[in-house]
Amino acid sequence: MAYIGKGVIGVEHPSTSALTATSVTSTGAVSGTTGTFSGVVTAGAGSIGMGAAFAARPSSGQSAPSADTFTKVAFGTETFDTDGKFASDRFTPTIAGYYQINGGVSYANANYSAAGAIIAIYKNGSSHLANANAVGGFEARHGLSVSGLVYLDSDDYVELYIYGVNQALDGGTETFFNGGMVRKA
Amino acid sequence: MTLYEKIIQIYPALEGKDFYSNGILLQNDGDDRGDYIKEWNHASLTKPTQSQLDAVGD
Repeated sequence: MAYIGKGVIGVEHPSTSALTATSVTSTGAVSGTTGTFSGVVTAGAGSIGMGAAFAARPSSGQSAPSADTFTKVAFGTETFDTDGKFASDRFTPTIAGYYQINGGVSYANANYSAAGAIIAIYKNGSSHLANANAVGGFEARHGLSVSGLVYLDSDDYVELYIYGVNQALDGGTETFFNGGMVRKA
Repeated sequence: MTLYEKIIQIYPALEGKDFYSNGILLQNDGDDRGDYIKEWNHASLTKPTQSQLDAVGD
């Protein structure tokens, strides 16, 4: 009987017959005819439930990007980074799979004229998922968010960009970038 | 003066227009390069040359 627990893939076998194996795959399959298998197989990086995940936030408020210019958002503080795959504002999981990616940005100030703005998840340097909305125009903070499933292969990476008004970005919890593996390729 | 502002100086008709919706993609990757024109697909205005941009005062 095979079982899957948190971070563990195990295989049990009836005590009445010896289980022999020459290999055990990450899916728990056992094959081969020599050697005796016992114990628990611990899943490696990228196995079920063991994909990389990260969460980051700004280390401080980001100065105002130029108007109408897609500008990469800086994330200087990692809340967590399970496999060390987030660096230089970029998540590069290195294991092909489907990843849930989420990003959000708020502008630090209100009181500016209403204008269009776009938040975009960039994949390999180009916009891949984006959301547009109006910001400004009344006395309240404004923000944008975007999320979705993104397929990333072994060298793909994602970053977060903002486009729109020439206003400083919030450096608190309203600006974030996080994600993790949902399914291995 | 930002790249956006320089382009407005060269093409005053773009004042108040959304660049991205008009085929102009300016980008900043947070590196030493700063703002740059990644794509220029405006229907009628030609991409400004570097000399035109340099001629617009900072």
